[in-house]
Amino acid sequence: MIEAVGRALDRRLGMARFVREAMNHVFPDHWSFMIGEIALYAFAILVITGIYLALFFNASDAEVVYHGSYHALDGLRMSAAYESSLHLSFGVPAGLLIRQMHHWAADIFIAAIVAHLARIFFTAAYRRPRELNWLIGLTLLVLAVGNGFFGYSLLGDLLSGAGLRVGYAILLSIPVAGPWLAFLVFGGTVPANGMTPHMYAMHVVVIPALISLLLGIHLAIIWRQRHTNYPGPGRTNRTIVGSRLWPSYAAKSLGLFFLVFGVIAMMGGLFQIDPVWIYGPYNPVAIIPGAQPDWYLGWVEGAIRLFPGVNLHLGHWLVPELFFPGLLFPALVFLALYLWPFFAETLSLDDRQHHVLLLPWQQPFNTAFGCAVFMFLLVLLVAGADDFIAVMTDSSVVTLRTLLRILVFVIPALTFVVVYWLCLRRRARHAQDKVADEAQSTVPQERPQAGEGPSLGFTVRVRPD
Amino acid sequence: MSAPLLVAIAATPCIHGQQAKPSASEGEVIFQQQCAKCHGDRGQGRSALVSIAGPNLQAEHDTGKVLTAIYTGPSHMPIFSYLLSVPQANAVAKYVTQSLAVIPLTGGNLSEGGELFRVYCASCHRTAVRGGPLAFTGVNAPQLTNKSRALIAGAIRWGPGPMPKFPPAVLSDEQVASVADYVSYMQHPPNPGGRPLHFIGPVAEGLAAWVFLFLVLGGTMWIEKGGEG
Amino acid sequence: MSDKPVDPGDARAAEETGAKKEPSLTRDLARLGASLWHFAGAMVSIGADLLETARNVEQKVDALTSPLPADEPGIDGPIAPPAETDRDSDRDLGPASAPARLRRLRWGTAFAFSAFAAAIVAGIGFICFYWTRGTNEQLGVTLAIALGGTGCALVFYARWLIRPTEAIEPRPELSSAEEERAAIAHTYRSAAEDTHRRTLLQWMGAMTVGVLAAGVVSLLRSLGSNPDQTLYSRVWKHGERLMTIDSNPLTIHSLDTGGTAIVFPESSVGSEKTQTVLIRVNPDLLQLPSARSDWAPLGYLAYSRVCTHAGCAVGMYEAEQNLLLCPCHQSTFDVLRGAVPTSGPAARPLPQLPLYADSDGTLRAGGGFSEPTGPGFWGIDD
Repeated sequence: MIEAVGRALDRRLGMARFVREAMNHVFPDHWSFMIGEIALYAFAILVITGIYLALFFNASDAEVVYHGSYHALDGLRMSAAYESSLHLSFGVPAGLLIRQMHHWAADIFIAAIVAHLARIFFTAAYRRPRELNWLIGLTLLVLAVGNGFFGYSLLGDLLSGAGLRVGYAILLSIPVAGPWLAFLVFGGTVPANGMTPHMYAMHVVVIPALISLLLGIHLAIIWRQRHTNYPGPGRTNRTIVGSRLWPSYAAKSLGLFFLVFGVIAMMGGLFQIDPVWIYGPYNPVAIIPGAQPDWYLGWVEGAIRLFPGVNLHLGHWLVPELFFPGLLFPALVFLALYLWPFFAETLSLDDRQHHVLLLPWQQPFNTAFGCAVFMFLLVLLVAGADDFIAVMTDSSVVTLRTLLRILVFVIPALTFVVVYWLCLRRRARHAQDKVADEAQSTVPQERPQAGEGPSLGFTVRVRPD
Repeated sequence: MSAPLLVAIAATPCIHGQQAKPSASEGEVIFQQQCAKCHGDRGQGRSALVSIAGPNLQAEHDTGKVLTAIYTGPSHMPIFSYLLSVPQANAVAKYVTQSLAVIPLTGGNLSEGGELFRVYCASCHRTAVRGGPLAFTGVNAPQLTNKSRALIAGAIRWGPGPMPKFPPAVLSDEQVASVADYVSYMQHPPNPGGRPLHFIGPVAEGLAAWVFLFLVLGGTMWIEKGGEG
Repeated sequence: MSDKPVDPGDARAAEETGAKKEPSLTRDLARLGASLWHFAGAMVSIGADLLETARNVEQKVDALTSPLPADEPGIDGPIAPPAETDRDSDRDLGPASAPARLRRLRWGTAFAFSAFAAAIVAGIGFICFYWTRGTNEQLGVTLAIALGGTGCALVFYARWLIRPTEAIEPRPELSSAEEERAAIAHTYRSAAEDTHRRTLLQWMGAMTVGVLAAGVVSLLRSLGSNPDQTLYSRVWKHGERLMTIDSNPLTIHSLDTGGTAIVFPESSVGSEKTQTVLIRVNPDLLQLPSARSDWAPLGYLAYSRVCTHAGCAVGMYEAEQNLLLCPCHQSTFDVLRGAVPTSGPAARPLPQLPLYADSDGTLRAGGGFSEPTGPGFWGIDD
């Protein structure tokens, strides 16, 4: 039957050759190449669950009185947006499941992007000709983080309202244009009426459209350039080795989609996330401690907490203390990330095309620097949760913060040194093994027989000690 | 105050122990002798910055709870069953619940209590009443999951340790009852979404997301087993 | 009969006139009929000519626009596999022996079958739970098994039931050949061939784009308002009473030492920007700057409750240490010295409100806040 459909289509489109060439497209087989696909499928799940939620959500700041099924909030005044999120959670069958799946999928989406970024970074896949995809991918990360922030801020609960206030203060702290930008984005001092419809339009239409467009270009570039290979037999800059799209890779990829979907469904069913009915409706006079943003902004939150209260007075004008950790620091981090491929190219004086990856230990500076930056951001992430750590360990948040201020510099430096040394050691050992190999073998490396499976181009032997 | 000191104070032999028929004033006398040292002469509670000697009893309307406390000595309260006979204990309980308990715990509204809690209390205790950090040496706002409504109402009026006190001008008696109702409800809230991850919030959720991402990565290792890239 | 002499021209005419001896109806009708017949014949022949022309034109048009012929017969028949495919050179990675291959297929089929079966059962379970309003956990777990089972089945298929092959293909040249580049450059430049005053038009085009962009930016402007005087507002007016959130005024008897309350000006109770924290401290401990020495009657102090760091409500008051604590980033403010920040990331003190007690003891504001409230911004020192 599928063949009949295919014939009918071919009679009208005549694309048999194109589709066949697509089916023959080769994809290298490695689990670390699937991380980007996890992000892609998480995005698809976000769109699917998001459409369902958008049909029920009421993005309005109008004040209503609640008389729904959750009696602990009965009779209270709240925004219509908050009321619709309560309705979704308690009134719509499976509404809570879809809502939780959507939020978990967002967390996983950004986690997968970050893991994918790490894989690209540590295998130097950003080298020519893939710098363009690196830039597009980073932009996707920024868009995803922004969309996540808007997404959970839409609900109008106390936790996200506190986060919006901090966002407003960060915008306000920008020199010169701060008050203008803050009033433009928020429509007035927070909380302002009309904020929720703006955020809704961004979250549901503008940013997903941009993400879809950039994602399409990202995938098209991979398709055109072909995926990179890890080093191994037959894997050169002129060939690509892997399995074909049809049926092998398509089945694996589709299987991954369903697995990711299944894991997200399990999380949505078993683990409560963002219980807005416990936080209560946003009340500007109320506040909760530990009003952290979602994890992907936790490093900014940590920077805000650790940065000392230092104002900058430029004569008559003030650059508030929030500007440096809240805006300047994240902007610099992303700027450094954007420029990295070009910086690495200049540093290594290598602008040739590369289609075979480098293993992490083959590029010690890159790997050590990346690990150090990663640990820096991780310490900041932990600092963003320092109030919980203080409660759980029964210690003072002030001493903890002083400790973290020291660690945020010491740990990355230590990491750099240790990782650099480990990479050099591995490289030395590999050189020794290669010399030993060439001394022992008299026949050049042959293709392994069928049934043995491929191996790396260099053997790693256990040295008899 | 430390527990050994309390035990020493309470071990003072009771002079009035052999009367045949205890009365309400008897209860008052015993209270002032034995209990006021920790609980205050009007049961208003006593505390220092880091520790609490005895909580406020002015909302305790349940004689059963008072008797249980006298006989089992919760927290660092000593056990008084060796020092007080049953009629004496009953007298004390009657005195506490009838004369000292001036905070009526009636007329509370659950949702109003929630709103008030979020305005006045959540900044220290968090909306899920699981306690929160204060910026001082080892002192954090405690979790309220095992406190009775009477204790909560008493603490609101008394302001134990670092907690401020909320007089009737700020929170009326009905409002105090509402807040106590809300806290009591939040001790076991319905969690329709599943496991609440200790009500920690985005920090725990982020950690869980990474754990599950690693689970999915394990899945990719299974899918591409044998793949050499 | 006429007697005039007749000339030869006339003779013919005379013959004719002579022939027309008498008017005859039959003859007229016959002539009419003949004329009509000729007329009809002419019409028909014209019509036939027109039709002929039209048919010719139609044939010409047909010849130009006729549809392509139908598919050849047999095109829907069974398709024989081609003699050679691009996949012939792929390397087989599967087990070498036939029994091993068979074992692999059997296991794979069994696994895939079980996975599909689990997915089907769980899927039916999900639908049942949905219609009977099951709990979130029931819905989530059944959906997870249904989806995960499908995924597992696909993976079993991919790993056990497809013959594993490894393909090696050449990578495409990513830099086009020189001729290609020359050709596309030439094609691109053909856009510019036929314009005069090209530079001028380019400038005009650029200016148009600039103006359109400015138009778009102007549209965006209506998203928000101008930053206005509310940023600089001192919020309180002289003489305004301090009200609780229930709109009760506070007096000097309202709080004990160590007590605290949230207050608002009469005109805007419950507003985020105007929220103020009222504290009563022991007046002997006060160390306010001399300019503010009369701002705290009987030890009553009032500060803005909006943190100067990031705008959270400074909700925590620590009576024993006389510190206001903001729960968001743990900034602490010393209330005895005018709420100067003592630890944490805040850099500016909380704005203080001057207080006085009137004749009935009601607490009233003695003016606005000492500074604009809320987090700092560029022009705040203006």
